[in-house]
Amino acid sequence: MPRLRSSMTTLAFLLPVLALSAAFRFLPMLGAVGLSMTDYHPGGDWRFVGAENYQSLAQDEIFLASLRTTLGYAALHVPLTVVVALGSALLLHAVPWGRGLFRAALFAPYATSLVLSAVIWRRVLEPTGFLERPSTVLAALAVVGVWRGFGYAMLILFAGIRNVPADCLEAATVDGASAWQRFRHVLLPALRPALFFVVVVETVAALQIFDTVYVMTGGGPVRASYTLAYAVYDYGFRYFDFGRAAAAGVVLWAIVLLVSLGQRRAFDRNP
Amino acid sequence: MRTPVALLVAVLTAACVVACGNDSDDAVTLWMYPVIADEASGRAFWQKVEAGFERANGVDLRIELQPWASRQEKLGAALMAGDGPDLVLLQSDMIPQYVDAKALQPVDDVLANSARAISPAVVDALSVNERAYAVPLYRTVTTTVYNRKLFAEAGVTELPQTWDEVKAAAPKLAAHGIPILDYSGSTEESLNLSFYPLLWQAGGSVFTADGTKSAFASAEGVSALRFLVDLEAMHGLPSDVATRHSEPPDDAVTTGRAAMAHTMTADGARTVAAAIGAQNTAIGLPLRDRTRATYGTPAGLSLLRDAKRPDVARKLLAYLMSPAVVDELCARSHYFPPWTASSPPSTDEVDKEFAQALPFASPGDTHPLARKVMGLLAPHLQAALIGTTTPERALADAAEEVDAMLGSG
Amino acid sequence: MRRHIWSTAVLSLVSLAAIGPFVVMLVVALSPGDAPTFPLRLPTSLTLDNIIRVLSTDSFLRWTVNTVVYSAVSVAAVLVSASMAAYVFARKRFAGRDVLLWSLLSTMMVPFHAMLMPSLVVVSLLGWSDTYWGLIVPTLANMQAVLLLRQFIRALPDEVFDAARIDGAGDWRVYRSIVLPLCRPVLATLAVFVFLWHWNDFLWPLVVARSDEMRTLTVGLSSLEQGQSTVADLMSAATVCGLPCLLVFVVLQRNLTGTIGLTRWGR
Repeated sequence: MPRLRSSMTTLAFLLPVLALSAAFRFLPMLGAVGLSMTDYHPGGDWRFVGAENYQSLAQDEIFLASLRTTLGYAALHVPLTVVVALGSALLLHAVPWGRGLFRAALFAPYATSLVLSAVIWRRVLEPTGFLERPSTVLAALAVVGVWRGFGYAMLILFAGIRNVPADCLEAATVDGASAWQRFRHVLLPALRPALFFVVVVETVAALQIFDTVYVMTGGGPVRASYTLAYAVYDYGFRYFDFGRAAAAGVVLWAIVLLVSLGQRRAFDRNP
Repeated sequence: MRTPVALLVAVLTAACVVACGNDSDDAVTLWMYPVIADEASGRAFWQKVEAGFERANGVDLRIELQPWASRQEKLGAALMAGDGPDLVLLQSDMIPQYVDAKALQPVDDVLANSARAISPAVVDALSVNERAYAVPLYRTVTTTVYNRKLFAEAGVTELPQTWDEVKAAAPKLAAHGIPILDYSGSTEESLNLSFYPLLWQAGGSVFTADGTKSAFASAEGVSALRFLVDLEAMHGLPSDVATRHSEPPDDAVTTGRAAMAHTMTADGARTVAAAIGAQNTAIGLPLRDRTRATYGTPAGLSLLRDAKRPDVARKLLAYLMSPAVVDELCARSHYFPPWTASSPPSTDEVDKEFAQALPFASPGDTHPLARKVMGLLAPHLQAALIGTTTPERALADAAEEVDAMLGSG
Repeated sequence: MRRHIWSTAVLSLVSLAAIGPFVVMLVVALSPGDAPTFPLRLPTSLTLDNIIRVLSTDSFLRWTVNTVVYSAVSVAAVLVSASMAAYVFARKRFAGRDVLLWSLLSTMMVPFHAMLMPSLVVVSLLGWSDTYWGLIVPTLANMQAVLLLRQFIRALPDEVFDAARIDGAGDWRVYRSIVLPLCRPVLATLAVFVFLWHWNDFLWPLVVARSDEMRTLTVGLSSLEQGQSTVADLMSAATVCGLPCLLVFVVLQRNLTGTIGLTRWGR
């Protein structure tokens, strides 16, 4: 009886998320997969083409390059975000005054218009020429992307740091551990769950980066910042190749899932 | 715990009550964009139009004003969900794509009954394969706009009107740290507003006459690209030209960081005049190399294939393209009417100057794959601008890709 | 002491970089419309005219109400549904638990532009086009929130739950009296960001709303932009959109700092 009751409660607790996800995430996803196997035209009149879109993508140099570009961007964005967010969180924890003010300031990028941020960052980066050179444009975009998004990770990590039992740290200090040793052996392990979340979420976001690319470089120069998510937008809404766009979207989804599962293996040990 | 849940339920119920009850499926819907600058004037005008049509025809008409931003996404998504309007405003360079996607119905019959003669160039621009797919509402044109003061400060007395004059004046302005020409190399900028006018001025074209192959890798094309590359070498273009997307009010001329722009709209010219002073702004004819040419697009209303009441929609089209409506729209929006007969000259200074550029305006190519070609060509132009390849090589590579795509398409 | 000064200095620099553009946006929004300021020069005088003009737009109140409803309802719904699911994923064992979790998480991994049109089709089939239902409900399945809360609940020590179990508390009681209070900082963070994402959302409200009455603030203000909008116009619209987010953050800040002291564990 208790077992059944427990199962019913489990189901009840899961129901809202399950129902919402089923209707508004899984269903459209299936729709997108279906779309990827057609040559859809907005005016109707489409036919089923099987794996043709995927085959065409596999032979498309531009698409394959966008895969590399996307992975390259994520490789820059995620470590930078973790470092900046963790660093800010630690600093925030260390300063004894004005925390509220600093937090509000660090949150400000979210309240700033994207277009204006792009204009200002372009102005700032102009003398360096980083946005103009294919070799450095991804790094420049990563900086802007991190600037826009690190507040979220920082707040999560800050909450994580605050949860670390104070007496653990005290005990370590008493034992003669240096600041670095305290960080490495007490703080980091305690932050593992929060760090895992940050890494996964930032990776997912970085692999799907679109906004920053759209306003700052339009995928250029010479497609050096032409990411997969931008390709999905391009194929779909510029060239009206919605089947192809959906196929590219499915490919991106598969990549993100693989990377996330890999990260889970590395970070998220089950209790 | 209970309170937030109860609150949630209450809000949702209230929201539902508020939100329910609007749809009248009998309404004819029209998607319009903010072409009239003054918000109040625009709203008044469209309300008048709506009331006029409803009175004359006894049909519920809904004119929905959409934002310019993300309009392709909105229209595409609405068409897929079967939720699109009956009529929508489209520019001439967007029409071929929609026709290719079989989303529009031809409207030659409505055009044939026009009360006033429409300029053949306009009809051509709105047609694909000899059939018209939009009813014209207005024409726009772009032309050259100068910052007189910057030129004067650099010691250039005559505003440059040809490529040679631009190249001659560039070093003088560069000596003062000002690039002479604002150019947007980003792929987000339509080539109709950046490279193509230069190509046309050199006497070249994008496609061959039959539209089966590209024609921009010609001597004329190379000459146009070389013009840009040479200017860049002289610091005559903005330093971030390859990824730059200049849009008023953040374009280089408005912010005083370039001396001239070769394809500015009338709205842009007004923004410039407001920013740097009307006395410092000069509007000239389009640039000339072998010939004078610029970009100018008509825009019109298209009838969607899935329109629920096509007969009423056609009546609406006839009403909207009547001289009464079109002339007032053009007066309020400062655009040009599409009639053959030229209108009396406007009293507005900016309008007068732009009207002089009208004879040189070309709407670009009505090839269904024109946008794809732009997408393939633009990165190669960027490569030439950042110096990783020569103009000849860049255009040849692009032509190869484009011809392959045209051949298979 | 020296360490404090060093930390403050670095943090100040980072904060300056973060808040700089926001300040610029504010200054431009307050500049007189006809004299361009950014980036040429600082404004000679400040005026509220632009902001007032934005606020007195015809449908402004309607758009704001829509946006408030969109954001507030979403926050409440996401917090409730995500915390319930997170509790199960963190504390309950059942066959296929992790497979289910990661299947659900995988739904975050589809690029938005690929899902946009199918999502609208689903909404249209339900007849929810141009209604609050169609606007709000599809955005409530927030698996990121589930994952975040799951991580934090997992980090809570077993003693807390064991103590409650001994007291004879069922799942519902545990959820209500232990999990929710202990997760307050995370819930507050989530509340701020879910609010923010919905308040600033542009593409989805654009695509769902047909009539002007259903538009949110971002979409409505964007429909006013035309060829002759000045920088001041654009920035005042952006400021009107951005300021509420900052205010919500400042208001909820207190909750973000709550620590879970050891003394509160193990009742």
